Amino acid sequence: MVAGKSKTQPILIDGADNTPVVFTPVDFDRFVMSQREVLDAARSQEERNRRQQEVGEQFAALVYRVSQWCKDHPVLLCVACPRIDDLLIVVVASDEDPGGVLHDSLSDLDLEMFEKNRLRIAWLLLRASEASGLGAFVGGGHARTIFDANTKPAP
Amino acid sequence: MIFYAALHVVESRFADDRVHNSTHAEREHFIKTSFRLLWQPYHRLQSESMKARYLQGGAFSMNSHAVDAELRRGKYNSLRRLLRT
Repeated sequence: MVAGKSKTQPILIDGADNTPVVFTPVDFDRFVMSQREVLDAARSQEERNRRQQEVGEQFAALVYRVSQWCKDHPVLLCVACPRIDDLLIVVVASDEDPGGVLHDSLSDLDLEMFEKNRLRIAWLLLRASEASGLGAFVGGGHARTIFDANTKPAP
Repeated sequence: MIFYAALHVVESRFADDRVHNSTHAEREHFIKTSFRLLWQPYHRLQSESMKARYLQGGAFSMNSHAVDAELRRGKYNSLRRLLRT
């Protein structure tokens, strides 16, 4: 049985109760669900909310860690761009990289992030002299700047 | 070319463990989880391969000497050494 609908009383949904629940959205046809279905739908939504929050927190931590890494290395620009099945992070760095040490460090950062969040991320390092080709990888207005060496921090 | 040679070298090694990765995503995941030491040289070769193919307007900065020294003799051989150990 669904309890009263007053503003001060909660609506009680009981999975063992067979009384159907009638929904009357403002601009939609009314529809009916069992209380069990209502509970399942609520659980699914809770799970979606939890995952959404988890991914959001992972992404915020990722952006912070990557921007810190950029500050500690000769990086000019770092942008992230969502693609169909992954996230592409492009780092534009100085031309000087004897022995590929900077790229190795980026690969280590990639591994570190993979171990933390298991998100599928593709990383690409462009040299400053290759930066004119950035648009070949990042475009469509979806890219977000994670780090820009020309942006001065607020005083 | 060097990247795809490396790709076949690593897949040949993985086949010893009866592992066959049919996509780049699967292969990257497997390397990162099971052969972490390979990731530095493999990732470098993959990145330069991507740039050589897709950077427009001749922006790719490595000349043939650097490709031979850094990628073929450096990363590719390093990857092969790691697979032998």
